[in-house]
Amino acid sequence: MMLDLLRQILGPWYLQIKFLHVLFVAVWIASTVVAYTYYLVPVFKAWRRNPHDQEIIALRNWTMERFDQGIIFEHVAFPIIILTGPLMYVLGGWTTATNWLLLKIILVCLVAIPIEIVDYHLSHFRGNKRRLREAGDAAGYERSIQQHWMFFLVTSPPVMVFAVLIVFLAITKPF
Amino acid sequence: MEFSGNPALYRRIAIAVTLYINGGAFIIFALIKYLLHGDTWVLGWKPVLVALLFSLWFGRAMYRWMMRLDAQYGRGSGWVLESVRVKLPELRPRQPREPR
Repeated sequence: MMLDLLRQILGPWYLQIKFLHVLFVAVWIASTVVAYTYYLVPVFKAWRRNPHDQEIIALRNWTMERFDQGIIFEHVAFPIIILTGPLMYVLGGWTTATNWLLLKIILVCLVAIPIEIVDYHLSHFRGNKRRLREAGDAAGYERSIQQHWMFFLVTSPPVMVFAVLIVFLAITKPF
Repeated sequence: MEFSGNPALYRRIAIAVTLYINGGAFIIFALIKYLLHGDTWVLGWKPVLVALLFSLWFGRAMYRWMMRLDAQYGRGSGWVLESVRVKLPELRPRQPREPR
């Protein structure tokens, strides 16, 4: 009955909700690409090759803190995507019989949601580097930087592959 | 504090992530199709072969990606390190609020 009410009220707005969904997926995918590729990765690679160089470490830390700030675009976009997606599922009368959609939802649940939960922690909550620096926790700061680098190493390949696959499934609806 | 990354760890991570995502997606998809729709086509040889080949490719690609990203491959010869003196803009430290 609640779902029927939702369909009645929001059903006429399906395309507008889809517009929001697609727009914020674009923001989610693209907002950190330049900073990650051309600022973060070169500095971190230089650090990995010269792990005790204090000048590189200073730039590494500054870059990481800016990245922590800049990722707010991605982290505002993601809840909007997670809200509008299921809303479209309900309003559009979709079911698990639609194969491309089922696989897309599974990949979002297995890949995107767990990654973003950890990402929120590393960038904004207890892993936030600026907060640790201002608290004077040098060991915690270095630990958080290294944890964040490990996070990038582990998540970059699946994000690149499966984020593209999710969009591919949504647009081409191949099966 | 030394960074803990190393090739053996990355290999284990690549295998674990591949099993988690590809294996997990395949099993969940097959289960939902079977339990809710009675479909068993997911267990046919074509879908299984596609899933296996994709998983093999992904596992290897992920390992190599991690190694390249972590500068374990290559010497960084495309870059030079220049020592410069810079001023880095930092956000002002947050001031504690004064009690009213």
